[in-house]
Amino acid sequence: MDTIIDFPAIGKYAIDLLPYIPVTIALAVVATVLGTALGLLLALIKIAKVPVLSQISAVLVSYLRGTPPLVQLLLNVNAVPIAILYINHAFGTSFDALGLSPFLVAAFTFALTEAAYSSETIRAALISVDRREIEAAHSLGMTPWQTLRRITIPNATVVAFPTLVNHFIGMLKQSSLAFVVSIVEITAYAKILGGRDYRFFEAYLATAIIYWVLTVIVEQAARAIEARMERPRPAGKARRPRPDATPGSAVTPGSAPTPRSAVTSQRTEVPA
Amino acid sequence: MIALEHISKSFGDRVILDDLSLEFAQGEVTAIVGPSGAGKSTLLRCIDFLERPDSGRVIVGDLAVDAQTATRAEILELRRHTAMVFQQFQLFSRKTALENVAEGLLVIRGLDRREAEREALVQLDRVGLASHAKHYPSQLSGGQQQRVGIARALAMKPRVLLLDEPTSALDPELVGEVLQTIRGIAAEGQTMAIVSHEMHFVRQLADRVLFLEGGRIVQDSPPEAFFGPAAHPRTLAFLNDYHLAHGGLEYQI
Repeated sequence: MDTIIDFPAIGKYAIDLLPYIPVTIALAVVATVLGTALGLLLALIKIAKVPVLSQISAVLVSYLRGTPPLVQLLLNVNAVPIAILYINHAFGTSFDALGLSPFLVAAFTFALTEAAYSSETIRAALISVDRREIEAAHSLGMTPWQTLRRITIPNATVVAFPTLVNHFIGMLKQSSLAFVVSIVEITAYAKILGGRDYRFFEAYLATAIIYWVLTVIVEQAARAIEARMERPRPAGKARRPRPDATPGSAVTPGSAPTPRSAVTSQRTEVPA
Repeated sequence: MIALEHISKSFGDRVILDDLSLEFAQGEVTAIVGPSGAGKSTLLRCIDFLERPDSGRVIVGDLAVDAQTATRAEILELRRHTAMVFQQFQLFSRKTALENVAEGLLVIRGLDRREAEREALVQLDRVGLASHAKHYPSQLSGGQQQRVGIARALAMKPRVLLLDEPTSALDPELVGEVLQTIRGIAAEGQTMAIVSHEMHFVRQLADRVLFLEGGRIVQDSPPEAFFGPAAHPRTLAFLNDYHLAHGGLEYQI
């Protein structure tokens, strides 16, 4: 008699799926790295209010946020051959219209989406960097680029990192959309496995477990990196003890907003 | 030679510096004093173009930088020969004391990491903080942070050291150590311009006192004359206010 749930099959499918994990990870990593770099560029364009470029990037971001990634993927996969044919026609070249691999198209598509979302995160992080540190760098004689590279970006990275890790985790899962352009990563292969044995439930359960495990690993790695980026907190940021100060309350990270803003407002009263 | 020629600066309609010219002699300590809003900090910040003057020239050695025609390269060059110590320290929060001091040596003076760190340690030692090299700013007291700020500025071997109210953001008990450090630096012959409200310190240390009011130099004299009975009436009024403040309100920040 057939079993209702074939438990051993779950494990077997999970093992069968292992070889496809690198495809999923490669898609997510390429898309996130490229997307974050592009997001930084978009953020800088917006902050510097570069004429023309900032308008173009605003429209681009609006489009990328306003359309589903699946639609973008389908659109791009069809648009690329058309664009290549058009280029061949216009410039007399003879590129292969189907020469660009679906993996590259998918990676670029996801990178663009990532850029759109990360650009706002990165912009906020860049703006949050203490102006006074930037001024100190300028006073040493650093160029704007040196200041950006050595002071602004390292400081902003700490702020943006947790959100960017979230984006990466999202991208791990979003990469499953790539099956529509015939990229076989874990989700696509699970579908193939399920179709082969008619054990779809077991195949997808194995897939879900793999995604979950991957995510947990990424979270743990991110936590370790965040710990490394941590710098010692001021031992009692209020140099003058506040009347309501209880021992240790000033250094508890979670309780920061209220006491810290109170302290800041106190300190801004220092006369110029 | 460091000189300012006809420096003017306005923020909107407000004239902060009004056609100001002066020269800083090599090895001299020039104190800039005056009431709040007199343009003291702006004057200092105009010297290294952190605030770009509307007009006038800043001359450091062979380099003459005109406010109206200055290129980015000229401004960077100017900043290489001047160094600023800020009221709020403005240390790089993610860098240790040593890295703060080494930063300019690495990036601006082009030393390799090992040389830069050796030199940075020498500078930290000058301000008595070699033992705190590995500390982050958050682990240092305000006075220690400011001394790191001084070491960071000195590491650039500036033609003129600019100190913008270096002790105004400090708790009273921490002011002494910073003034002591500045005194030591001055004794080594470092040319400096210092905006300060520490009148006793100014009197002891300065070779020359500039009294600034309304963006103009009202009095420019040695400290004996500045603090003497024959001072300019505006100066006397200021000092009078000041002594009142000394007795009552000075530290109620």
